[in-house]
Amino acid sequence: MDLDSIARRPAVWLGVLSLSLAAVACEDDDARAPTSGSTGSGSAGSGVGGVDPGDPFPVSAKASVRMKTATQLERDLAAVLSLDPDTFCMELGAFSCADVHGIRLSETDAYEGGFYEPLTETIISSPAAVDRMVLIGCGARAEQDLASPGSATIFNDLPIAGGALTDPAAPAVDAAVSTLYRRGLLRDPTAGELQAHRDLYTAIAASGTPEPALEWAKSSCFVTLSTLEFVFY
Amino acid sequence: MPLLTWLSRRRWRAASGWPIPLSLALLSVTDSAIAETQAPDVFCATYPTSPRCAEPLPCAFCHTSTTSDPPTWNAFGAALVAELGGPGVETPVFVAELPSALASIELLDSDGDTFTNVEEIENGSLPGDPTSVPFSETCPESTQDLPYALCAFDPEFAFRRVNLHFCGQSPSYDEMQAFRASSHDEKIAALSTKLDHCVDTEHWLGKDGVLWSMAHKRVRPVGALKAGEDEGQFPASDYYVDYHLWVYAQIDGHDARDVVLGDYFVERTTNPTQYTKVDDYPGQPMLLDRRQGMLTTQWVMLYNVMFTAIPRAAAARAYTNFLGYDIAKDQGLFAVPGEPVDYDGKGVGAEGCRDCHSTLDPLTYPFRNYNGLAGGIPRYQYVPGRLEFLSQPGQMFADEPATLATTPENGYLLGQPVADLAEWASVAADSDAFSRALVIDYFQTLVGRAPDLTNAAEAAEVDALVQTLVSSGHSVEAMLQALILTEAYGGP
Repeated sequence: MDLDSIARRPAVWLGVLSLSLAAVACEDDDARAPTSGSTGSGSAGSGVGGVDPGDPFPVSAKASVRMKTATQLERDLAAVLSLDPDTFCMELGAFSCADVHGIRLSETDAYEGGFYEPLTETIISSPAAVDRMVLIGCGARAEQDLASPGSATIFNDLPIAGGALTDPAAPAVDAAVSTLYRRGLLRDPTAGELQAHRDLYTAIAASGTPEPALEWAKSSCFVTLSTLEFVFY
Repeated sequence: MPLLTWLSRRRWRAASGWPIPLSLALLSVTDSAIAETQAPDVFCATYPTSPRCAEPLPCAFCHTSTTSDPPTWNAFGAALVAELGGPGVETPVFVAELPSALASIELLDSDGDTFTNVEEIENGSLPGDPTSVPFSETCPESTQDLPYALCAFDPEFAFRRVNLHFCGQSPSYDEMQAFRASSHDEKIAALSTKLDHCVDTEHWLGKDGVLWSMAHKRVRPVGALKAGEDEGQFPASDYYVDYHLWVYAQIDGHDARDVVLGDYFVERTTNPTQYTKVDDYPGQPMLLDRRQGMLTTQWVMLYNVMFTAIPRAAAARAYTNFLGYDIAKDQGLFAVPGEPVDYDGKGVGAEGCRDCHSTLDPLTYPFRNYNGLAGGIPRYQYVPGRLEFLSQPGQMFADEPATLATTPENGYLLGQPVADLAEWASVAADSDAFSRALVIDYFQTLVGRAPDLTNAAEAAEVDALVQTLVSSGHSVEAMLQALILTEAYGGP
């Protein structure tokens, strides 16, 4: 499947992921959204620093988090996925994603656009820009890894036959997820997170897609690198 | 004079240089403009420890509107007005009675947010705004099992930030693991080492890097007018030299004040990017003894002075760029007795204009001999007698009022008399406002928001950073070493 076809299908997989990762979904949005001057508790969502799903955690009164800029995101994705930062994400095959999506991801456009300072808040298309950059990067990495299984960066030696994983619980599958977490989130996945990724494969395979292993690799990467934990710091 | 105008003026007490008793004495002998700026002084003399007095008081402290006629007040301002006997009280009476009026309403909760007025004043929140309350946080008994150390400085959190902010990229897993395995002292040292490394990277100091981007709002480039590298459609100025000087002053322990004091230019070479001081630079005709850093570059002369006789825009931009005061927002007003004179007949002495122009015009006079695009005399240079010449028949300002040529070169900055732009720059560079504005700019760039003045601990951290900047000879990198260890930066 090429990137264009991925780009046409995220809505499908997002629905799948929502089901698969139900256990790690946000249970209390209000509680998870820290507000300056207030405190409270929330429950751990996907990628909240390795806290297993459902575990309560205190909420910071400072809300001291930053969203990665387009440049930071591009460089981090390139490093995590072992891709060329200058070329892996090109819109229309010609324009750097970091340039095209810069304004919406806290960059400036001083010389031509007169944007001398970054926007103080993200805008409605900011999440879409993040999704697009992550999706393109993950698509490229998954395709390259599955095309050369012996020398893959992340999805190494997956047990694949006929485009499907022969054993979604195989150590190689968990190893791939662990590699992804270490490279992207700088930590090991929790048991709950490993199970969520296995469940993700089950859901994808049940959808009848012809190459569930590849779809899973792309989606597993996407759902990990589009978490709050990766995108914010 | 309406109470509105008293309360709508912001003035930074700490920077005024005039003790309150002297200010009060001046009231009886100076015009109304200077009196109008006294309310913040009186307030901050009454509450000297209020975090709000570390920077210009916001209008919202008392007002809901300062531009409408009649003015309007929030609940706190209204209580104060009532205590003073209503709006329109005479100036000396207002100044004399303001402290007692403030004291009278201290125990009220004017905005109904459950905090008394004095609690809000002392904690930096707004007593007339129910959404602004003193900072508080409930901390967990132990952070041992949490992914982040809430309510405390978290070295790991800071380490990720330092990598991303200064190097532009997260650490690797192995690097993070090594950091986690180290002792607290080793972590602090590692943060310092990482910062030292990252401030030499392209991400930090290269073209379009972080430092370069921080200069955008000061340079305000226009791509179409770019000359030299990255030439635009109508090449008129190589403003990259402005960026070079900015970056140079921020790195390698250089004196950050050189952005307004430097009498040199800076060249940039690449692979890797390096900045080097030079005496001359192509397209920069300003003679050495009249150079004042980024105040007098060819781009500033072209873009901010342009064809103007009294270049208020250039002065106002400088005031904002390097002292953090935006006169358009009523910030940094230091009214000068007898001003504005209105030498160029623009009507700046009119009601509604003079309050700002009594500050703006005197701080503009030192720019009067710096020529932009006016013809008949050298462009982009300091030209003695510029206005006198250009006011002659047949010259650009021949139709301007005769008083234009009498515009003085001496003026005022931050309430202090200055003889010329060199003294202007010197007063600016040595002011607390300069250092504070620079620290706050870095704070905003790195923390992602302005300092929270309702958080006393954070306000104290900012004060300490200002002191570090000054005591280090205005070394930005020394200040950054302290900044990355603050709870504001490294506290999740």
